[in-house]
Amino acid sequence: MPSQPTSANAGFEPSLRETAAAAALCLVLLFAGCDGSGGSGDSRAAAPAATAATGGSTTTSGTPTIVPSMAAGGSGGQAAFEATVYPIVVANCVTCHAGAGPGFPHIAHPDPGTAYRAVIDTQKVNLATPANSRLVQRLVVDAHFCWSGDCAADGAVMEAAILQWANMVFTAPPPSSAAPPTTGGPPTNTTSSVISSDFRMFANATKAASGRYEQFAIAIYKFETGSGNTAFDTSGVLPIMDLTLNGPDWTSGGGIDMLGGQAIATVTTSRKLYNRIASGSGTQQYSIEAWVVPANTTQEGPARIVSYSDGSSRRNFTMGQTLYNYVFRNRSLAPGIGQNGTPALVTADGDQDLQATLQHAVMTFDQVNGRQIYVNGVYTDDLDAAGPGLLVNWNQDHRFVLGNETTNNRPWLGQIKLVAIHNRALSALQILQNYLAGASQKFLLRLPLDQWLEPGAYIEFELSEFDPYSYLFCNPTIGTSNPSGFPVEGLRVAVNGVAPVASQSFKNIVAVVDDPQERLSNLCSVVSKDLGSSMDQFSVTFEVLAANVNRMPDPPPVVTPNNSVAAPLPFSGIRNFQQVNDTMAALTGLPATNGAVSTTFQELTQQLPGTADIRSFVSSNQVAVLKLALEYCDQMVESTAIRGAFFGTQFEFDQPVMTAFSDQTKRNLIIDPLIDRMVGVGLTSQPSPAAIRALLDTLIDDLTAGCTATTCGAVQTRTVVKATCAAMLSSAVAQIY
Amino acid sequence: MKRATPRSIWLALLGLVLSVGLPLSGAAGPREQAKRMHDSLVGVPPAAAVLDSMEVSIAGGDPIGAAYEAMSNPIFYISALKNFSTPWTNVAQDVYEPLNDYSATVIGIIRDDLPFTEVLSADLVYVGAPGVVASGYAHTDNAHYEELERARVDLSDPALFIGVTQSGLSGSMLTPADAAGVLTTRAAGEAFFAAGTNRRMWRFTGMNFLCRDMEALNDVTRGSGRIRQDVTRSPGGDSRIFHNTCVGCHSGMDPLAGAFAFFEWDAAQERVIFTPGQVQGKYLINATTFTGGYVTVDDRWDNYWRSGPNAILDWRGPAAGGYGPKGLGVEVASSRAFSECQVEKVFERICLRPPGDPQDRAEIQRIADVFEANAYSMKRVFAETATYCMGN
Repeated sequence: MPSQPTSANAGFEPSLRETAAAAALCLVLLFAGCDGSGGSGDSRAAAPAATAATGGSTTTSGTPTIVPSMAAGGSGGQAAFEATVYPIVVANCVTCHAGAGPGFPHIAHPDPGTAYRAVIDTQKVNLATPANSRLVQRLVVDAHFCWSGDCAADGAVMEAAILQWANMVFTAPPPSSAAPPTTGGPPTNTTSSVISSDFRMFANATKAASGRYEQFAIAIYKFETGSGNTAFDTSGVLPIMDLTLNGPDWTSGGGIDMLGGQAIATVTTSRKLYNRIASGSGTQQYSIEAWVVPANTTQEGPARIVSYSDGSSRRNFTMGQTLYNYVFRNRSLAPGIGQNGTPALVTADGDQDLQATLQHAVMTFDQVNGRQIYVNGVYTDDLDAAGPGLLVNWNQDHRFVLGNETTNNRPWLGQIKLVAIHNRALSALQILQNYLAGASQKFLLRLPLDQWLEPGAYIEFELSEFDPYSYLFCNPTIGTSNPSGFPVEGLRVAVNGVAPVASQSFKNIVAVVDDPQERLSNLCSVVSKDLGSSMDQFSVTFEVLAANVNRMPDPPPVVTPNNSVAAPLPFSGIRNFQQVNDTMAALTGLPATNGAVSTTFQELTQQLPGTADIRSFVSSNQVAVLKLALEYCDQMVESTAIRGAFFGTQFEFDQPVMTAFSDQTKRNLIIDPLIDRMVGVGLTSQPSPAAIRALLDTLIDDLTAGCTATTCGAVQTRTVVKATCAAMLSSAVAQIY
Repeated sequence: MKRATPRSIWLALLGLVLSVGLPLSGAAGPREQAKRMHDSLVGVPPAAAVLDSMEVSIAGGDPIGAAYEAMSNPIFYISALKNFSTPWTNVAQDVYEPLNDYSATVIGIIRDDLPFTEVLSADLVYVGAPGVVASGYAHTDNAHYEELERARVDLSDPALFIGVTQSGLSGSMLTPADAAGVLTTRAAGEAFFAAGTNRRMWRFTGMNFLCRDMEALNDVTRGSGRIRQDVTRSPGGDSRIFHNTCVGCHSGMDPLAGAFAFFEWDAAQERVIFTPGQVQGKYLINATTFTGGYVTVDDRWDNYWRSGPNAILDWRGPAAGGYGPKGLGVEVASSRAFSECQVEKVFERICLRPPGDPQDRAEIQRIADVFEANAYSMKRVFAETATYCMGN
């Protein structure tokens, strides 16, 4: 039986690259001001070095403060930045990130110092591992505005520049300083004003009890090996059902990333499941338990997460994914269930129980409830229509497989951090217990505070590897023999002396310690990894710890003068739908509440201009304006009182066209009021009245052409007036301002 | 009865419409300036007498007086201010939505020249005076306001359109200490408390009153201790996404949205529900997504954006934290960004463009100063802006 690593740092053997990177980190610390005043001068002087590497930033009281810029290379960092990365960002990122554009942070600011602070304060470079720099990842992984169109190439350019930066600030180390510290040792920051715990590593942590319920587990995979092509079954239940990895990659902290491959057992070892669950002596009940991180919510098939099957159409059981749903197939003698384990039990679409994040999924089957699904410790309430049924029709020649079908044609994309098969249907409480136990091995990490409190004082965290990129620090607790009610404020978890700027959940803590084991918070903080779990050193800084105070105010915000000049926009605007209506009401004197115009307005509202932006004006807007104008003019002309108020009483509305428009004087009875009221008087910003008069005259000519004394009566007279009125009311002189 | 319009007339009209083109450009005198000022403020051309009077004021060096004369037109309240504020009241930012208690309260505060800062904190809502329309204010529908709009009730008339306390409305669940201006109106609740997690109420408060959507407030450097349990810290198994993207908004937004923890939109009753002392279930949903996240226990809010890059908003309120929406409203309205935002919104409305060059931006600052020096008078902002953009 293969042995499994059990020590606290099991599976985290440092690679050559990590070792080199750690050495580089130490060089940064040394270069940045590790002058030995912090203690012995050996590599454990990391804390004061990190402090001095801030480049001289000071608090309001004049004392140095830690700024998350250790990896910048100290006081020489800006010059190196200006010579390496700055020209690249100025050449390629200036449109958005210079300060006036939409991009934040302002890494391409015209002032190199501001740009440097923007890069450093938001931790956009990792000098120890340039490829991990956010500036590189943004190009290579996110394809964020790659300037050449080849993101990999652009990322390589950026990475090379950051490497050059690193080379400029790193100096050759004394050999004795190249090795990273492995224990906390004595206090290292005795002369620093930074209130920091001692440093500790994963290796210093103690393993916490797992808290998992595994009494009936017959197969367990925790994926802690970290290398090779075998995932070990650590249940201890024979026969051992190890899995051969065909394609998956190991992930840090325990887990595999499926990458479209599979992890599969042999037929022989897989028979353990049949024997202990489905055979005549089997329990006729079981549970599939998995901690998974689906890569997306678009895969279907169902994509196989955990399966005991033989190809895509025969199985004993499968835990699968279809979009946002978990899918549970199980072969049994229940009515309607076939050899493919279908109809499946599927979580409800609307619940979207499956999410592309770390989830605990458990599927149980027993002879009372049939199939049940739990997600993150909670029953999904999806009922199994098929109900229970004996499992004796399972096929003992199927194979146990993760992440795919045995035939490799139902891939599931995502990470698996733990899988267990139990030959009992776990109870709701047992499932909740396993969910609360978490996906990763938990450790207790104590960071000494002897220097600031009393000998033996410490702060303790529950620590685990959260995912390949972060640690999870939970439940900070102060241990002290003198819980005198002293204050604690502003905690930041630091990795290798640098407190990541993002996601410091304990930063706003304000607490009082009056218990020997004072829990400061029930929260967890997701803290970015740096060199990896075998190399990273952890510490915690405080703004207030008992009588020690070291406030760490944010730097003042960067105020960037905006001298840009936008392209000119039209000085004039078109009236919007409401203004069109109001204007027509105001100019004609007809109330907007008039039934006919109100109805027409309601019909045309969406067709009228929606904004004042004249550039968006289209022909359909004009048609709507004209229709509404005709309605207003119609109502006005048909109302003796309102038309009288507008045109006066001299025009003969009830006479035939040939009479009403018989000479220019009579025409002017219509034209003059229209010009005066709709164009305005004495406005040089409007077209000249003479030009408008000529156009209206021509319009009346056109509208009355061919009329005789008998063909065009009084109705036609009023129609001509309405049309002339509408022409003015809907024209630019009334609708543009 | 509708009368048909002959096709020949349609064609003739379209031809004429195309012929009467854009107004002539050229140097604007006081009369042209008065015309433009009235058009841009009210949305309609001035009556001849008003134009004459405004011309005299402008020629006499009192363009502000001219603007105030224009704003005495009821259409400024019935239409211009209604359309100005309506997009703030709904998620789609739709200008076609009917009048509601949110937009009515904005109109009323401007009409009565109350300090506009009260829009986010006062125990105040504007309604039609008793008997003006058939339906009265209701917590469960918007009929009262739709009727006011349909009847084109003169909102400039204090006898017809009045301010009352929200807490005093029949059936109100609020005390004077709970009411927070438009934040606790029915329309705001329907738009921003419905479903979801109430973060939307903060987002739109920022958009409408600080002129900043979440992208503009993104800051990954704030403490993440108030991010709720329903936010995954490892999307797709990659916590880098959380560190570089999610945390930028949630670290600041979640502690601010805590102010609304006792509020909910009840879709069945179609009204805002307020449960003092009892956190709404929506604040606690999806708790298993990240159990180490923040558990909301009250309506505490904290403004972590007072430090860091968003300190540039110049927060000047009496407290960086508190309980309930009223204090949050005070915090927002006390900021310099609030003052600048109100001016920018008016500028874009009146000048038909956003501020586009250093001169425009300097003017925004000047008018914001005037706004603050004149008891946060929005009328004065309109007047100053209309003066700046009346042409020359």
